Amino acid sequence: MNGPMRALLAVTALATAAFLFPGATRAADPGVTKDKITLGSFLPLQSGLAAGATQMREGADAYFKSLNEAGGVNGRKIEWIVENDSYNPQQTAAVVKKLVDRDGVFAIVSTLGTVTNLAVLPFLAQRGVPIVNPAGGHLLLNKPKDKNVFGILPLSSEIGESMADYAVGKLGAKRVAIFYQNDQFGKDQRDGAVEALKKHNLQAVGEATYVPSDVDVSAQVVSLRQTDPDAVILGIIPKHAALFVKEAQRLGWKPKIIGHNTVADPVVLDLAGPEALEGVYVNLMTAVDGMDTPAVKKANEILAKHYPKTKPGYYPYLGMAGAMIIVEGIKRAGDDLTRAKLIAGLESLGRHETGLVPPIEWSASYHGGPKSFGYAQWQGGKLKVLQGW
Amino acid sequence: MITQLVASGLALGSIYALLALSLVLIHKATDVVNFAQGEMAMFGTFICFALLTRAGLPLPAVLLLAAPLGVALGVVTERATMRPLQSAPPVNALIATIGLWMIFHHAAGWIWGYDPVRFPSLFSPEPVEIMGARIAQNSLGIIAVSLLVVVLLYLFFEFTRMGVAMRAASMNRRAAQLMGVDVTRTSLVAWGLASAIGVVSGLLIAPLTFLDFEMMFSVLLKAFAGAILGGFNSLPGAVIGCLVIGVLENLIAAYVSTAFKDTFAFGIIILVLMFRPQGLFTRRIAKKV
Repeated sequence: MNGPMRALLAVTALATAAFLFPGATRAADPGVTKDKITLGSFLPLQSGLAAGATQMREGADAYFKSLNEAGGVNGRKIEWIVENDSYNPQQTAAVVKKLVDRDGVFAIVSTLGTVTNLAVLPFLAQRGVPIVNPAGGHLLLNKPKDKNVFGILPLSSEIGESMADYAVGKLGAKRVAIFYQNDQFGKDQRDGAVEALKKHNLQAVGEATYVPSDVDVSAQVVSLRQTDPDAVILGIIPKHAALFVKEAQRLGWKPKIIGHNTVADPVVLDLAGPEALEGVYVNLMTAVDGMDTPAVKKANEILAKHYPKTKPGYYPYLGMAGAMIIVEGIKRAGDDLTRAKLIAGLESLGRHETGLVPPIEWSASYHGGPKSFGYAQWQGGKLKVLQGW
Repeated sequence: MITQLVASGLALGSIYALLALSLVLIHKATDVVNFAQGEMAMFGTFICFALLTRAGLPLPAVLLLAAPLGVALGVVTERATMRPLQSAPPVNALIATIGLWMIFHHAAGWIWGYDPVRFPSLFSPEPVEIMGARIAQNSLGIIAVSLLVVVLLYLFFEFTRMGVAMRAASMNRRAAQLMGVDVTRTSLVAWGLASAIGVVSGLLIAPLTFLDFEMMFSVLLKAFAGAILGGFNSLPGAVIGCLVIGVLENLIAAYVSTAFKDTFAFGIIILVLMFRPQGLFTRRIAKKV
């Protein structure tokens, strides 16, 4: 056997060995060194969702920074590379390829956007890259089937169901109307609410929609008022929630209002003012600023230290919750860190409390979001928690 | 219910009307349709907001500064982008204004962020009751300002040398030039004036719609629809057209479906362009060659 041939054989043998016994030839998966773990994320930092995306990044980043200051996890510090995808799935595909192939990230955590996340799931599954907390509203993100995907948000339809149950069960409403955003985000909540009402032998007495570019919802408010509901469910974003309650206030109309978690955003208070928001109920799928628990206080402290200008709220808590959970998974995976061990670590979490989102309950067969919600009410410009999760 | 719908519709239409006035003004004077008008108004309003919150000026002072600030914004924009295109075909200027639309839109998001913010109102938040319908005092203020602007602009176009020169320049640029009209100056003045009206409208609109980088998107499109309905060269026509759009939009949302509210405005544009391109309130004028 001549020289080159022998070399070729050796390489083939090595490659085969590497293929058959990945653990034996490689110390760890990409993105892990002796003292550093590289994680990645893609966020729509330049788009209509930019405000939320930035806050989500700051929440997660504040946690990683404070973790690194305390020495990291299992002696390794976290480096977190965040790429902007402008809320454009094609850009997401490009930046995720860059994160995985060029930066060699170990896993991806706290990303935002339904279509953008969906666009890269097949690629991540094929490469076996774990993704924790892909925030969006879709079965594949909230009730994932892929082994490498872990969602911490509930389905929008479950939020709608919960809001309708709360309106009928807790608030005693008999006539329920729904005002929602005319897209998947709003329609799923509407469908969930309608389903839940059916279980109570009720149907929605009125429905109206808006689109995000609307600057006025007066016609919708007038026509919903005409149907005389005791309670109105809002499947909505902060700006339009503020427009809705201000218009209702102008007309002197005071139904019970139950809003999606976004209505707990401090932006709504800022836009609508405390009087217009008085008495509005909100569904909670993340913590709110005013929650008086050690976990929330700690989160606020971390955020205030690293991003003093960012107000605590839905997006910072969501980003941070993803960061906390992946770190817990990494801790459980042990010193000899691999992607397979991270996945096993996350699946071993069971019922796990971060204090920032309702408890997740992951196992080998369930990687999805929580099934319980909290409720709070705006009172005098502050959110008062009525029901914890 | 119907009186409330009509009243809210008029309030909404008056918002469109304010913006439509500056669209018509530039068109009347330069024959250019400025697609960036809404974004320039939004951008100017953000500057006012920065004066209010960062520089800490009181609201009346900011209101006084709004018009000169608008003039400056319009003049700079015209000098930087329209002047170099002066001798190019009009479609170039039109496309440039679409570019400006994007530039102002994203620059505002980049500078001031993407969250909506509350803008203080000059008016008391207590609504006024008129014939059983409740209207925000702010909306009544907008209607009053629109009417005032129409009257002032009418006087300007009919009775001042500059106004007449502007009309001449838009009808036939070359002939006007030969008659001694300084067309670069008329264009500059038109942009300055329109932008001043735009920024003042921004200050009046923002308390109702909140201030954010997307606030003018649908307002601009509806202002177009209203201006086309009323006749793109008629100031009172544009105002009436916008009020009609606001009211019809609300009636359609309430009695047909909220989903058709926006489509409908654009349906109107197409219908008017097909059957009465000069608008409902202006006489047909043969194109002068």
